[in-house]
Amino acid sequence: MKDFLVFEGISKSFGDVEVIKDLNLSIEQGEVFSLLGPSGCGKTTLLRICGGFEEPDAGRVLLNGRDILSLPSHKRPVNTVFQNYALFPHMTVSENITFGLKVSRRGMSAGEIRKELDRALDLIQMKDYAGSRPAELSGGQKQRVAIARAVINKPQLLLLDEPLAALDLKLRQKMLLELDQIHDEVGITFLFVTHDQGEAMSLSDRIAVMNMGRIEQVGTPSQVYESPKSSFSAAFIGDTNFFDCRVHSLSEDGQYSLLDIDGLPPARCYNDQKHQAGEHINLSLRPEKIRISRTRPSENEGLNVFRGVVEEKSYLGAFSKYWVRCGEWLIVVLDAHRHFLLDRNPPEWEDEVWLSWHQDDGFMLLKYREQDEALLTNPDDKFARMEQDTQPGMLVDQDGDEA
Amino acid sequence: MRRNEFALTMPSFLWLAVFFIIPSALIILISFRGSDSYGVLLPVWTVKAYQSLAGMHLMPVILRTVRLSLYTTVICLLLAVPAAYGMSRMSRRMQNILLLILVVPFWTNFLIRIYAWKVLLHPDGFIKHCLVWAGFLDQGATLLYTEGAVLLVLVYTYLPFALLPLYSAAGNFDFTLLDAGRDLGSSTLQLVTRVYLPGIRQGIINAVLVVFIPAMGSYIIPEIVGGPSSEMLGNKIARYVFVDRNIPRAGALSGFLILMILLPSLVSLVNRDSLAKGRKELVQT
Repeated sequence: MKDFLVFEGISKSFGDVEVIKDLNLSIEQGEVFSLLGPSGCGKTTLLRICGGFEEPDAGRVLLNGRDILSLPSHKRPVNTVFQNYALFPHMTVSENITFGLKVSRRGMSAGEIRKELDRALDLIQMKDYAGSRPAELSGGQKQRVAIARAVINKPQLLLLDEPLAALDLKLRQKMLLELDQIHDEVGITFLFVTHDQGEAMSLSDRIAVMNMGRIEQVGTPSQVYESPKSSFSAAFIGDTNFFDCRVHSLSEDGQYSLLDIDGLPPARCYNDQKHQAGEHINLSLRPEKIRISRTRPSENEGLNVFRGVVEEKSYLGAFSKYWVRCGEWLIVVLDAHRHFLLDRNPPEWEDEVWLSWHQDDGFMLLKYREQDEALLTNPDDKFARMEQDTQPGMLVDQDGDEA
Repeated sequence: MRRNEFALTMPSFLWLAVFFIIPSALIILISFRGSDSYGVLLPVWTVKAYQSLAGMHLMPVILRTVRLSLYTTVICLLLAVPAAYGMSRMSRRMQNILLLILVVPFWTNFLIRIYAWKVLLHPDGFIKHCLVWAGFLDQGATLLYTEGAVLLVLVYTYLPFALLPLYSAAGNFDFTLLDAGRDLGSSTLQLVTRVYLPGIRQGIINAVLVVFIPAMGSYIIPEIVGGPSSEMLGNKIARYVFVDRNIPRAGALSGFLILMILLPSLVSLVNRDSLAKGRKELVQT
C-alpha cells in the first residue's frame, strides 16, 4: 500500500524561472494529500505535471509503480477538478458528468451510462438539476458537478486544483465536509492543491508545505503545525512570533539550549534540530502557546518569562489578540476565553503584563533563506509572471504530436 | 435606465432606417411598377417585372451565386477557425501585431486590391507564370475570368471578416475546458468537435453571417475578375439597370435576393429565441 504515487527528482522551468527543483514526494493510496504553499511555489505546476498538462524537464512520476509521464493526459488513470470547475457551458449537468464515459470509447451502452449517471447524481445530491446548464448553477453546485464529472471515470487518483477557492467562506466550509464524505465514499486518493492552510489542515491526512519549488516539510496537519521544520513552515501555517537569537549554550544532555535574545532575558528552549552553541537561529513561538497575565507567574521549571506592556488589543469573541511590547520586540499573544471574561479583569491597553511560555513550546529553526523573506512579505507580485507562463488547454500536445 | 439604452441605439437605428430600410422598401415598391423601353417608370402597378424574371434563365446564375457564396463561407471558416485559435494562443504582443497586419490591406482601396488580382491572374501575370513553371498549368490555360478566380478573390476579400468574430470568440473561450476535455479522455478530434467548436459557436454564426450575406450580393468582384460564365446575381441586377434600363426588373431581382438572404437569417433568429425560451422554462421547472 505504500508509495502509491511517487514523484522522483521532478524539475521544471518556465523560461529562466525554475518552478520546481528536484522534488521528491511519495503519497499513499487512499489518503487525502495536500500541497500547500503560496502562489508561485510550484504546487499547481506539480499537479499539472501529474495530470499530464505539463511535462517536467527531469524526473519521473510513478503511479502504482508505473511511469505515467509517457502516457498522454487522456490515457492516465487520473482525473482533475479544476480551479474554475471548467464545466462545459454548452452541455447540461448530465452531459457534463457523462462526457468522460462517452468520449473514452469504453463501449458502454446507453443504459450503463445512465446508471453511472444516476449514481453520480446521487453522490452529489443533484438529481433535480440533471437538465440544467452550468450557467444556472450556484458555485457550490458547479463544484459538485465538477467532482462528479471527474470521479465517474473511476480514476485511481483525483487531482483537485484549489477546488474551493472560488466559493465564499460558509459554502467553502460546507463543501469541505462534502468533499470529505465523497472521499470516504469513493475511496480514491485525493491530491489537493491549496494555498489555504485551513482547507489543507481540515481535509488532509498529510500535507506537504511547498515553497520556491521545494518541499519544506511533509507531515500530518498537527505535525506540520505543532512541529514546524523550517521558518517558512512555521510562518506560512498559522501565525508565529519569530525572535532572532543566538544559541548561548546547550544543556548537558543536549536536549535544551539557552538562547540569547537581544533585549529579553535568556530563554530555555527545546533543541529539536540539535543546533550548536554560537549558531544564529530563529526562535518560533506560536501566539496561543504564550500565556498573558497581570501577575508574575509562579516560578516553575521550564517556564520562560518576559515582561512587557500591552500596546494593542483586539477582542475576537472566542479569544483576544494582544500585541505586547517587550523591549524591541512586539509579541503577538492569543488568549483563549475559557471562562466568563467580564469579571476576570483581563489586561487592557498600556497594562504591564507577564508573558510566559514553556520551554517545549518554542522551536529553534534555521534562519530564513533570503527568498523566503520576499515571499512571505510579498507573495503575489514576484511570482505573478510564473503563473502566466502556465498555459491551459492546448488542442495540440506540447510536443506537437496529435494525441 | 431603459430609456437611456433606447436613446443610445436611436442614432444607429435612424441611420439604418433612413439609408437602408426605406431605400429597400422603395426598391421593392419600384419592382411593382411598369416601365417603358427608355427606362422611364410608368404610373401603373403590375407584377410584370416578376413574370419577366421567370423568362430570363436565371437558375444557373442563382445556383452559381449560392454555390460561390457557400464555398466562400466554408473556405473562409476552414482557414479562419484554426487561425483564430492559433492567434488567441499567442502572446498579447504577437496578437496585436497580427491584428494590425490583418487591418493593413484595408488601407488600400478595395477596388485597387481587386484590380491587383486582375494583374496577378492575368495570362502574363505572376501567378500564371509560377504555376506554368511549376508544371501545374498549360500555357494555354486561363485563370482570369473564371469561377475559380471569383471564388479566390471572394475568399481573399472576406477572410478578414470571418477571422475577426472567430478571433474574438476564441479570445473569450475558456481554454481550461480543453484541459478538462483531455483530462476526461477526449482525443484531439473530440476536443475540437465537442468542446472547442461548440464553445465558439456564436463566433462561427457571426462569421457565417458576415461572409455569406455580402458574398451573395457580390457585384464588383465577379464584374472585374469574372467573365460571362461566372456572373452572379449582382451583375444581373446591374445589367438590368445600366444596359436594359429595366429598373422594375432590377428591383424584382433585388427583392428576390433580399428574400433569399433574409429567410435563413430569420429562421436562425427565431431558433435562437425559442432556444433561450426553452432554457428559461428549464430553470423554472
